Amino acid sequence: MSKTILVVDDAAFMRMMIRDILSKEGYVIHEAVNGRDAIEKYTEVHPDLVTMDITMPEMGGIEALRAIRDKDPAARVLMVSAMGQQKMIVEALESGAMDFLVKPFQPTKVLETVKKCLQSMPRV
Amino acid sequence: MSDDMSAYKDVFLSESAEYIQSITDGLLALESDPHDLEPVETVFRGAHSLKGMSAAMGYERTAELTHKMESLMDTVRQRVQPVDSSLIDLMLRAVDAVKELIADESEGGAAVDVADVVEQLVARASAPTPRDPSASVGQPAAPGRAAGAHDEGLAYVVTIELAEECVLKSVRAYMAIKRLGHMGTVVETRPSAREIEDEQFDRSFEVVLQTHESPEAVEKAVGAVSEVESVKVAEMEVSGSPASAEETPAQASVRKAVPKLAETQTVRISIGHLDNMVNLVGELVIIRSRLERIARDMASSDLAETLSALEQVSGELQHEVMQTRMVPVGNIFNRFPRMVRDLARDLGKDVGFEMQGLDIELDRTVLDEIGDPIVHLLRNAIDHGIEDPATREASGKAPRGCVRLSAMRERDQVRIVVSDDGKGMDADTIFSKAVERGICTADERQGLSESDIFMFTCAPGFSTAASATKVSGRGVGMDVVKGKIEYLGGTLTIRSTPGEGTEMWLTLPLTLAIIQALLVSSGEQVFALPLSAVSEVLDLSEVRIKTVDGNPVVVLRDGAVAPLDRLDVLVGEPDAEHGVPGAEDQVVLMEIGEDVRALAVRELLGRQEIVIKPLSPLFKTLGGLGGATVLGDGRVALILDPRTLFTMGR
Repeated sequence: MSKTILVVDDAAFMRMMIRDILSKEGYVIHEAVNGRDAIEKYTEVHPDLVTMDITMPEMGGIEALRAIRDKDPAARVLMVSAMGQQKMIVEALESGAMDFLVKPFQPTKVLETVKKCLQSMPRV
Repeated sequence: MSDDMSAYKDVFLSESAEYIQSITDGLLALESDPHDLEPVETVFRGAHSLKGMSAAMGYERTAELTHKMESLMDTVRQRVQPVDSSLIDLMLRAVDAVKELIADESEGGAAVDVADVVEQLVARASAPTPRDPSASVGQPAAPGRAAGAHDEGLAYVVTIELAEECVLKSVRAYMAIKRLGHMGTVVETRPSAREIEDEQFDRSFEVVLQTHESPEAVEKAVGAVSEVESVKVAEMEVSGSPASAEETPAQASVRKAVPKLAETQTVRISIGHLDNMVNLVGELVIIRSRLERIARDMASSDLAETLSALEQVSGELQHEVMQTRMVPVGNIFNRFPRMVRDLARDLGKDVGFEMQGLDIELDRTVLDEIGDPIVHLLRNAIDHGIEDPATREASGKAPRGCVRLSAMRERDQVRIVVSDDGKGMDADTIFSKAVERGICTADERQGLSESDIFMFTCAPGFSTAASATKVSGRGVGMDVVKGKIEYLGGTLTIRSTPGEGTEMWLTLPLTLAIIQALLVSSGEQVFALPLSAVSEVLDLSEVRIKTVDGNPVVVLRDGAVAPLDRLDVLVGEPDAEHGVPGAEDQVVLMEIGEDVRALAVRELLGRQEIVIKPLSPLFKTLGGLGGATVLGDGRVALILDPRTLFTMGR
């Protein structure tokens, strides 16, 4: 069965880009536009992996990450960030994110990282 | 030094204070009810977190102390250690020691001695009064967790190399080190944790790890971190089995590592000291050039020889001092992505933001001052440059605009460019607005280039109230930006194509206080021209001079012409004659932004390093001058500011 991935980003452009990269490889994509939306969608679809933007309106990625990991300690979350957000990435990793991607990214890099996350066990 | 580091440190300090508080609370709760397991967990976790945090900050001694506290609490958790008042006392003393140590290490000190407490923690952990006799002391710690105090395993040097395309090296390093922390105790990193955090390493770094895990397991765990290219695990040259609880080989290796650390230790010093050093080095350069003059006059070869040695040493000293002041531009650029994003959202624009050249270094004074101007230029790009998505699509562009901030090194200057692919600027519109605002008159249009006209946007009061928004303000911006850049000895150039976008070029000197200058004479007076602006010096007999619109111009090799001005006329010397300069004059070609200008001077006095002394505010309004300097013979020379020089006397 193909894996499902929840793509969380407030920018439609970014969601589209990640969706394009991932759906070509056969992943089933769901989307959420902010942290709050992500938490709802997560409970709804129980994806195998979440790609989470850090800076978003309503609720940011780190808060959403914590909420999701609270509900499901086995949740796999991959952070997506811009340059210059080192501190937030560290914070996300502390809060249980598995890995991170830095925008702008290469499609191969995205696929490689996603694959890696899906293969390894989330820290509980 | 960097914003980033101090932010880390502040977070560390406030968070560690919280942990210290919760450990203290836990210990007190445990004292009132020794059978309550919850506070045991709280104290254990607190010590564990402190250990990880302080190791990440490079506070090795705090990390070691908290590690011992954690180990002792672990024996309590395992029920091999009874809780009594002496345990609580010891732990509370350890907490006090942690407080002191953090205060000390966070200020770069090494004065606080906690060896006594560490020893007692170790002794207590290894010699508890077992409640359950079957639970023996030397129990190996569970794999994958921090090891117990008795035997910390073997020490390995783990060499980790990151992939070339790795973007946030410090975070990758953090992930790798953290993973190692789960397998054992991270004793030391090379370079230091602080340097790693600051990305002051190339692609590889080393971690000294004490662990029970096999080298293969360590290699595998770290290798699983993304963008880690290779991992090498080598045993540290430590032999034998644990001899006694006091002196395990692991501890011996910790001690061995200490002198090594001292070599690469960094010291935080106040910027005031650095500024003083720069001034003193500046004075030294002045005295040196005075000595050189005396040596020339005396024609003493001994003195000349000694002087050349002095020159070399003072040159190196100057370089070193300047180097301590250099900071990567990334330190201030790092806060921009968030700002751009928030701003774009407020304005309903879709903006992508890219940054380049984050590792380019600039003098910290320049860097501190340049933040606000860049913020303003970014705001302008988003507010006035980038169109809203619908407009962009209607004109055939991608709905998402792009704003780019890049830094690059060019000789002894750094160029910072803020560009956007927005609607660009229209020279005619700006010119008629400038006329409207009374900045220039309609008949001045002829002699102005496009970039001259764009510069009107930097004139005080250019923006109209109608175009003012909450973001871009009311025209108090660009003139302030231009003023600030010029104050720093830099130039601002604007390039723009309607419909395609705008580029703002900030050209800045690498350092402020000392510059290479060409000393010239106008006949009466000595002036210093910043060498960074001088592109060529020609003999007047070598150049062709033509007259265009009644003004002399120099014909350059490529056929282009450069307006020719006479220095004596520009500075208003009393007997200066207008017109074509005399045959004995020299011509200095200067690049000012995009323009080439020619300056006729009476005499070239040579190249020299000069120390810029600021002019009093009274002279600043004169224009044309960038400061003053004291020459070797004690005379004062005015430093000419190439950007405003040619508008003098007009």
